[in-house]
Amino acid sequence: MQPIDSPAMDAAQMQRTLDEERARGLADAEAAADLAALDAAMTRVLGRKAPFSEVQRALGGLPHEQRRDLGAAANEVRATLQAAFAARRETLEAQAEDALLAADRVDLSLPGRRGRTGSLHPLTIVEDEVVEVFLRLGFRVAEGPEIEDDWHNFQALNIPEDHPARTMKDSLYVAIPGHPELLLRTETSAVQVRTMQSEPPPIYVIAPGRVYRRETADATHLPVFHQVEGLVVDEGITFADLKGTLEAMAKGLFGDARRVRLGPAYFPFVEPGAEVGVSCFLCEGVGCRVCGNGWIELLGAGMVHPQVLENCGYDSERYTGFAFGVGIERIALLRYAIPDMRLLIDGDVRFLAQWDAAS
Amino acid sequence: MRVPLGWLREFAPTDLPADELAERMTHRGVKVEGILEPWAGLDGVMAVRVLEVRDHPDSDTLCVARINDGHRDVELVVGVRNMAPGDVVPWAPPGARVPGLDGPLATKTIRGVVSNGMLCSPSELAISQDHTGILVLDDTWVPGTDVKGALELDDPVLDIEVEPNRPDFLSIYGVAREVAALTGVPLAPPDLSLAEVSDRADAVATIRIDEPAACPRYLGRVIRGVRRATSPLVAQSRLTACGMRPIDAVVDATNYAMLELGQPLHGFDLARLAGPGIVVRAAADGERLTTLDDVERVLTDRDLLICDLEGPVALAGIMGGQTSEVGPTTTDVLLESAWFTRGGVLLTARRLGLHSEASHRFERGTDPEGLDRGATRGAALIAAWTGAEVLTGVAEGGATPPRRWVGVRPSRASHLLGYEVTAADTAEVFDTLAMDHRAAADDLVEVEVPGYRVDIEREVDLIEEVVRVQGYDRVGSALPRAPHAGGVPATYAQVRRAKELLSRAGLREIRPAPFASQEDLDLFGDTDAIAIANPLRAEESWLRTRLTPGLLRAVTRNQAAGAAVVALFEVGTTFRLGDPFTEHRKAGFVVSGDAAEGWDATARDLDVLDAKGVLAAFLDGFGVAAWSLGDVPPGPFHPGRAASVVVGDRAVGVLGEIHPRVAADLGIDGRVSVGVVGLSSVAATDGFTYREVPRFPPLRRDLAFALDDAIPAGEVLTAIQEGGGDLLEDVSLFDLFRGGALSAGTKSLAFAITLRAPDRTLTDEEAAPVIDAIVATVAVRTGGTLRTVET
Repeated sequence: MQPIDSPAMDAAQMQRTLDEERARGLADAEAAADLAALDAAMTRVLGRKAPFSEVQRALGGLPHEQRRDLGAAANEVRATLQAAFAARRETLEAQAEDALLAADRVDLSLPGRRGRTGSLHPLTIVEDEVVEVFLRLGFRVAEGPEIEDDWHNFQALNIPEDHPARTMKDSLYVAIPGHPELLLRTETSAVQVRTMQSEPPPIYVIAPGRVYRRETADATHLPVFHQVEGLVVDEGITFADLKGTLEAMAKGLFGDARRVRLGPAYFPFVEPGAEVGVSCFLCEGVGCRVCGNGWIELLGAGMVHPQVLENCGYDSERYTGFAFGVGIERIALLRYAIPDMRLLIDGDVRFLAQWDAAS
Repeated sequence: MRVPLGWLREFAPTDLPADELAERMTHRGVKVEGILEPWAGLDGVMAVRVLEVRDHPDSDTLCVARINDGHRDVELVVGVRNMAPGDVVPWAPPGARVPGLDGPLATKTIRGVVSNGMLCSPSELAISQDHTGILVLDDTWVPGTDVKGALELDDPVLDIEVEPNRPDFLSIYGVAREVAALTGVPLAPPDLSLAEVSDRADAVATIRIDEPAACPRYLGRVIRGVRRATSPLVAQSRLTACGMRPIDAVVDATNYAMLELGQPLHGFDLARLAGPGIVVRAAADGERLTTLDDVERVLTDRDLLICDLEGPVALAGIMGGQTSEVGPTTTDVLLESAWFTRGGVLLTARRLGLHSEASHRFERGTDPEGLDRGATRGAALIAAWTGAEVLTGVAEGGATPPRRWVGVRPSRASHLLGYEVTAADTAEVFDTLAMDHRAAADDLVEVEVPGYRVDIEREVDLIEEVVRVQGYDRVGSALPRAPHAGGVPATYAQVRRAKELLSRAGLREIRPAPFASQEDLDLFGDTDAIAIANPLRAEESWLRTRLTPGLLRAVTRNQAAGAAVVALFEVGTTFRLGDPFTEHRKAGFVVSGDAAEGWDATARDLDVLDAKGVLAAFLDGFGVAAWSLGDVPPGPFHPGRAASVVVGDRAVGVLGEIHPRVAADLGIDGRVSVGVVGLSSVAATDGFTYREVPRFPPLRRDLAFALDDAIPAGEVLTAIQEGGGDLLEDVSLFDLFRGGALSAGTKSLAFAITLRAPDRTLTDEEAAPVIDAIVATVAVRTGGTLRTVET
């Protein structure tokens, strides 16, 4: 569609123009420093008013043969230039992105942003671990009230009113008018009694909970502390079952290499009674500053006294059982090398924050 | 019980060293807590003869003594002058050591006189507490003799923790019995030799027992012609090592015999008794007795008294009375050796808060067969130490009970212990313990229980003896198989869940003691708290009624320690009077301090809305969907920043900022907000089921309303929900704005609204009437006008 008033251009001129424009276009594309310059150069070389476009428009006025040859030449120039501009565009775009990201750099040595960290108390962590071990062994968790009556806390456990064991630990009594028998439980053992009263054997329970003594807090004593009581009553339960169960606990809490040692001890509600030592996890039982002779005395245990079974209405000839009570604070102190029990009740965040890794 | 090794070896002549013996005893249930060395540091002290005592030239109180150690004369300065020329006294020469002093003694000049070492008082040698004068030794001492060796002042002392079921270990002889059994050395009998004069004790004194259940047997020895004396030094040092105070020969002899044989003895001054008759009877209610410690005791009819013919002279088994006490002028002694049964002594001693070596033994159980032996040993020692004479026989009432036989089935022992125990094993165990036994049937061994084994009552007590003697190492290891899977009750799971949710919300768990002070109760004006009847400290006078005071206390403490942010929680029990009491599990938390999360965040104080966020996360975690905030609850709260937490129509907790004045009184700096929810009120969650994840795209609009500042945002939210109907999926506040183009008393609230249909893509045409309905409802309910809509 060549306009009528288009200035005439002969074939030689046109060929010359194509050659010049190819050279100029390639040079301009190469010289463009940024995308804007590249766009301008492209308009200059291939735009509607560019010499190249004039040549194209002039093609229509040429004789058939010339038009065919020059047309092919013009198409080749356009393709070459378009490829050159595209290549240059790709390079410039990559450069521009690099520059943008370089400006977006962050000093990664700056502290990361994080929300407030919460944590569980070490006593909770230890209690969870103990409970977990026994859940795997098929024990169920039992609970009982913290205010107990004399019968559950003492008498049912073979500690009558005139038993000297009552003076072994001083109890905290509550002043509730008309109820002189109520006190703050001194052992979670009271839960043993409640469990046996409420269901028939077989019994496989643990009772984690808070207990109270009339004591002044010091590095190794608290007036309020926590125990996990264990009780198994079934047919054919033996002293060996007690030992094996406590071995499983020791391994669960302190590692697979732990061994357990029983020694004679007295608790009114078990017989035979045992003091249970665990081979030291720090020195592997060789003897160190913490354990002394390679063994850490960890808890008290024994075979449930037949009188206790009878007090709860069980047939003490048919059923036997074992019971144990382990102090959570004691385990926590050992496990984490905490020097003073009072740290556990102070609520100091500098102390609590140390368990972030364990929560 | 402290057991000097030399004393123990008089009866059980083992040559095991103290530490090895201690370990073997502990393994056998005689728990040795430690090996004491009361005379550690005593070295080089020797007996010397005093040649001369003269005044110090430059002092009114000091004197200068010249002594001879068998080889040479030496001079030294002494602070007291009870020694006379010719006396033999202990001398610590330069280089020697005594227990009370850190370093060795030296030669030094005291006020111009050269002093070589020192002369020693009994307390400096740890023989007794007496430090009033130099110890004067008797004439048998040869100058130059080493004092330590001669007085056994190098004996280790085993410190034994005696369990309440084994009172037989409360005597040297009782411990020796076990040591003989475990080491195999023969047990030597106690020295019961006694020379008696022909007069008969039962002609002098009579015994009448009115309470044979509380006192089945009582006997008295009569000793005449007692002269005031001190007991031998070895006896004094042993008493001291056992934790008793040497007094005089008579008292020391009763204590010495008690420590040795376990039988408490009490000496009455016969001349001070109203007639030589003893009556053992119950006290009358309100009867009074002044005990040896000069305290008048008011008694009840559950207390047992020892009386003369006029009135009470001793609290049976616990403490003597003042009027009949043996003293410096005593010449004739009635020596009591009795069996008071366990319960009575314990209850009286506990009620009166009065404990003695005697009551300690009686309340655990003494050997009913040991009365004669104890009395004989005590009388012999008094006679030997004071030059007195002992009358023939005893005055007595009551009788020694016969021995009991208890049976044990070896099969039962095997069944309980988990390893094979035969009849022969059983017999061997009781042979070892020197207890008689007989094969009563195929599977039954009967054992004769000696009087001192008060712990053996039934079969299981004998089974314990079997494993104790055979060794706990015999016990094998097995794992019982529970017939069910492990599990936790809902109440326990709830506590665990609450802790998980609150720690996840960025709070740290605390576990304070659940006590409260009066101030804690006053904070909320609680009047139904449970008091501790016997508290040790004022801060522990009550059981807590709430978690809040403990949480606030932790904030105070942490702020004092410099914490910039305190965010804590506790899940624990609270207590109140009820029928007769109630225990409630609650979850509580507190937030205070800098809210900024991240180092470049804008500083802001944690406030009640942060606490509300924690509460919301907590309730969400328990699946409590329908909750709201109600009126300001009673308590120390900021009146504009607190509300009760309501689920259904029940208040289940509180949320609020503590009143700034109260917080300041508690020493808390800045805002402090708490939330507490009763766990029982969030208990009933039925779990949840899956809801389909949306498949069609939502349509979002942001709407901003201008409205009166006094209208709560919650009302606008409610209106939007009402107007939005079924297609409204979610609405959330994203901006609160005051000022600018808004008139005073007006605020702008901007909400992001999400509409969605479950079964199709919503079109703008469908959304328009919903948005219109929302705007209309907000206008009607709150007077809010639409400022902008953005898509």
